[in-house]
Amino acid sequence: MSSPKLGVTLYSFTPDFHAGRYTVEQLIAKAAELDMGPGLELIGFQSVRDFPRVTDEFASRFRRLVEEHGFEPSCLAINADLAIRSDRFLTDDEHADYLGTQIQAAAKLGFPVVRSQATASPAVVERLLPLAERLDVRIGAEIHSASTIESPWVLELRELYDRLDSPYLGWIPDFGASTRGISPGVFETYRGKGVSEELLAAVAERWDELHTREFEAGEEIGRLIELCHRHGAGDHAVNLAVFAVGIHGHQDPQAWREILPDVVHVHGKFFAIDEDGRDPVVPFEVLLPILADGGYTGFVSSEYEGWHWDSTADCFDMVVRQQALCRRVLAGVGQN
Amino acid sequence: MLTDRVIGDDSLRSDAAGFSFDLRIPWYRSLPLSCVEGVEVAVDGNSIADDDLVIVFNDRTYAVGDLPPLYEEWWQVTDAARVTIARSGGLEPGPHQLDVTLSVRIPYIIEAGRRLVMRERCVKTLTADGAP
Repeated sequence: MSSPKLGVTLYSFTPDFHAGRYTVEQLIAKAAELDMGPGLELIGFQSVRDFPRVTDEFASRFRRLVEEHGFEPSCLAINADLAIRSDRFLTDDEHADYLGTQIQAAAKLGFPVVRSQATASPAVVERLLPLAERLDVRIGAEIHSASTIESPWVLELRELYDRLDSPYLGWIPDFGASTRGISPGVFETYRGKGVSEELLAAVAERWDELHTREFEAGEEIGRLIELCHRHGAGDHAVNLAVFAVGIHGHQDPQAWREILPDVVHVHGKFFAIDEDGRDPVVPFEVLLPILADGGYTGFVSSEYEGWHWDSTADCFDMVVRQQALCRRVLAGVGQN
Repeated sequence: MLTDRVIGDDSLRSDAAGFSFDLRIPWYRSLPLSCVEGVEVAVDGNSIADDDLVIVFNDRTYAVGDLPPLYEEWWQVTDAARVTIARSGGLEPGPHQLDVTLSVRIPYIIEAGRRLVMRERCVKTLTADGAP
């Protein structure tokens, strides 16, 4: 059976890059040394200075590095910065120009896919299609927690996709949208910061309750922030609420099957792999077989994000462990 | 965790005209200056008035109030901005507590028509260069 390919996004190493411990060149070399390929993904506004401007010098240096280390560019994450101006949102034309420049940057760097976001409306995506076709770059809208395949913005885009029926328009599932619960590390971190057991239990209970019904994320994050403040969480209230409700999603893994034929890339989001090589919240043993079973042969980019709260973890080691888990699961699929 | 990076370690400097320190983006990516919605600074428990504070981005000096229209000027994620506070005589020698809250708008997150502003508060005790 054909199988998804592994890869990594340099976003996994954000703390190391942000601290100046590694340059982009050094991160690529390190990822190669740790055999994290073949797919290589990066975020334009993180890894490319002065993005979306890409100099010829940077583009040729990047292409050389990728080749030298045996990577394949998988996806360039671009940003749909609708609220970049302070006074108003971008108009559709302005937003299409803003994203179009980033798609051109992807083509120049050799990426076959760009990651787009919920804030790129169907009208904007429709304007971008001719450029995507001309440059041979597919546009993947990322479905990230707390969105699901049934979120209003996703349903609107699905209508557009049905109407245009183009292989250049698709989806990027982010596995953080399909979790079993809040990462244990979140509780450990905030317990260490002095947040009460009572509040942590209430946060866990709220997640379980949300798991049983539809909800509007902004509203529920707001309610949870209030709850945290009532329990005296102070400066921790917002982050705790966002980590709990914002990035640990509830979608049934099986639901991805519905959009699988239009999936152009996957974010293998995770928050920690334990000592036994298991992921406590992201069900890779369920998710990866769904991809394989549906005939998906594109990339799954390992995307470590536990650094949001765990400042002690070794980001490189986490990706190594997660990819070992993915390989084990995929090997099992191959035998069936 | 990037919240802890808002104030640059070992970056406090003082001279006769005032004092300064490094400010970093508490986020994974570069942002335009228009997304910097506020920089609140207190030193040793005393708030600094907006008029006494300027920030240098990309070798150009701005007041916080200058930033909202600047959506084409970028703050690179790996660059420190330099916050300078006017204070005659600078800081006394020795350790000082800096309490900085940086508010940044995340330009691609809009929930129910509302823009998302992250307020990241970082408190550090630093010693100015040259202090004993």
